[in-house]
Amino acid sequence: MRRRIRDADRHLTENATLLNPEAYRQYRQEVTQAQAAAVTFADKAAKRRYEIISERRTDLLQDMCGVRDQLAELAKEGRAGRIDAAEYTARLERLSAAYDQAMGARGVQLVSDAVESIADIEQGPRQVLATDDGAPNLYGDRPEEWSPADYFDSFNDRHGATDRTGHPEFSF
Amino acid sequence: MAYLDKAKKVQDDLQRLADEISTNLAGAEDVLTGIEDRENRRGARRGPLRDRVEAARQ
Repeated sequence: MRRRIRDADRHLTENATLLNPEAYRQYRQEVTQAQAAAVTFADKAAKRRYEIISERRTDLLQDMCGVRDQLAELAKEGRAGRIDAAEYTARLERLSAAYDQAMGARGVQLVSDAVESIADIEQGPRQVLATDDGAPNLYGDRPEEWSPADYFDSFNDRHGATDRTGHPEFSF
Repeated sequence: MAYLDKAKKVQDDLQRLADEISTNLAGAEDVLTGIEDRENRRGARRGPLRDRVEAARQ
């Protein structure tokens, strides 16, 4: 995907074809295709991570509801004086260990990591697209590789074509 | 955003349960203290009685 964008960018830059409508149309088409590929890729990646959460959800909810209910029952028995301190402590330690396990790397932590990852996938590229100054930037995590401003600077250097504000006459 | 919203919902459900359990675990020590106090009181009551029985045997 990045290669396609880079190829399109190189094609445009090498031929200095901003003044060539056909080359510009081709460039825009390739960028649009790359954008669509990026969206599809991001959706698939987010879906894969959500499936991890979905698979663990039922088991985790059951485990944690179990711990919560047993803890409540233990407290009730303890307050009522039906169990001694030794038994209470032993059962409490088991429940505490079960809680730690549910919160651990195969549990809530796994879900939290997956949520964070989905947020990166779903929000990251869109933020890059939204904050650009009008031109697409699909490098995502490496936006420094290319920017519209760089291109326009290069265009100005080569053609000296600027409007009255000093900006390139041709912009997109 | 669809997957993120759904994923966050699961995370929120789990976090609520985790908070509830965590609160109950924090309160579990008070229950244990109550049990131990009761056991100590029983022990204290039993102590003198046992002493009296022992004394009577002798």
